Amino acid sequence: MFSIVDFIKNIVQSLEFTEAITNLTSSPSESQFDTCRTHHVTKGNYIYIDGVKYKVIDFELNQWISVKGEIPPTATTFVIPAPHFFNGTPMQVQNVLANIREWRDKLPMVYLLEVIREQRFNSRTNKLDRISELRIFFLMSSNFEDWDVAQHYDFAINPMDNFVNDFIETLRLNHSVGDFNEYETINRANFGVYISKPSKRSGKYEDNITKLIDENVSGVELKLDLPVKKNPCFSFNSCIIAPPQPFANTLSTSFDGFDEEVDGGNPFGIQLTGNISFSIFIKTTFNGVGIIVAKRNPATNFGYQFYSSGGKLRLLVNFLGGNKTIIGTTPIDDGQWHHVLCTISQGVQISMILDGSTEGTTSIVGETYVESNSNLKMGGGQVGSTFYFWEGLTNNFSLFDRLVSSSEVRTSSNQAKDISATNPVLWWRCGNGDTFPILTDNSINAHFGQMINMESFDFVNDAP
Amino acid sequence: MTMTLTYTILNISDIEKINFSEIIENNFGTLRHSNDGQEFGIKYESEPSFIANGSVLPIKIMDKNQAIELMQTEKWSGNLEK
Repeated sequence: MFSIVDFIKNIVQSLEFTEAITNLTSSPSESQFDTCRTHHVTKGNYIYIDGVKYKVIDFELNQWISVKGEIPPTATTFVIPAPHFFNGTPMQVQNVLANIREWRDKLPMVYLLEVIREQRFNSRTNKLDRISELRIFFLMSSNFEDWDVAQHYDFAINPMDNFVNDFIETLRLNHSVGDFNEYETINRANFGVYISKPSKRSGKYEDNITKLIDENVSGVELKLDLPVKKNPCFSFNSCIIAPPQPFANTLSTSFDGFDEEVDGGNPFGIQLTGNISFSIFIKTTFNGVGIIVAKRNPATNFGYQFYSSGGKLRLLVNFLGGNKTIIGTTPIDDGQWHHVLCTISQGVQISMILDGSTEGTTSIVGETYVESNSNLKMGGGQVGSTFYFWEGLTNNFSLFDRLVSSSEVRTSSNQAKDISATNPVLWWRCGNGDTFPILTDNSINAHFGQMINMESFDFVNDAP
Repeated sequence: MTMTLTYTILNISDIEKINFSEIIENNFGTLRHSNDGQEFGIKYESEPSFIANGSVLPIKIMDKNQAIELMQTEKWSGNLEK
């Protein structure tokens, strides 16, 4: 059964934005950069850069953002997380917030006010299933003691109005939503005063609503009559519009730790000598020594290898001056899915980011990288005359000829995402869309992988 | 679907007797060798005829876990931080 609440919740939670960083100036105490879209960023919010959280101390709408702390000079993008979502009657939301110790950490929030009035259509010829009358509040922290009217607009109402625009545009592009020509927005300074109800008896929930919600919270109310199309997923009526296809990720590739590997060959397009990033999801209980991804020459040692040892991850990159290594400290042999992003910022540093957090960095200032001129391998590799095969599952391996941020290749809930728009050099889904014994390249290139010593049942129904 | 494979270690002197159509590995180039090059591993779903008829005598026959454990020993593994 189609749920308008779940639908709105999914829309809101999808509104995580990744934007480019330009003209970065950075010091240990404060950093500032230009960006053409600030979305719902405001003072006191947090943004993420390579999985690190930065507090916004100032901004100019759709121009620049300054944050507390030093941003690495290699940073190219930042992430604005989606607001928190709440739904229910004011009393219900009050109860939820009352159980959250620092409820203001849930700002900015989107609050879908219930009860929702819906006009249903039963006619087979009507393309609409219903029109849902929605009242949604986009709320931000504000400061009634110190802010003047202009500051309320700058720091609360305008950022939330920005978010309403993003929300509306996302709705318009959704295949389940019919055409709607108009909607109404109302600026709501001091939201709590608006929703609070005078209570006849002290101690009733209504009093608590006022105490919590009206405490320096402002934003924008959206009134919208949302037309929802008929859909085979939630209607017995004939299907007219296909539902939107989510990014299906159900399969992974299993490696046995004995002699199985995927060989990507050595095509010119993956012989990278500039900045390099690769991203992969892994799941394992293996605590031996095994290569997960490598493009390293077994004779000259040139190149890079990403491997596990003792249930922890390591990244080794060989330079003319010798090896540089990152030795991870977080156990990953727990049978859970983990995401790893490794980057080589030539002349600066190598880094390994595990599940969105930096696992380690090593300086490579003054080092010269030499391309290995050997095949790209996944699941195993050779160093000297010794083979090192890894046991576990891999999912969505991608290779880039630039530095990428963790948020470009994984969701905030550590799931794979469609990276078609990120222009990878190579992208093996490791199951979905693949036909044994080939891992298809889902980038615009054709760098396929050949499954060696493997079987069709090495595509398994498991994915992050 | 999960298939149970048998993992077997053979002596390099038996390499000419291997019928690759009966095992998972495709050719000599994809075989995993021990560090001294004297032994190699294969895996299969059904026992190959060259083992069943006694023409090749396995050094060791294992399940997957035993094979992974063996592959971590000094004879098969080493220091990859060279």
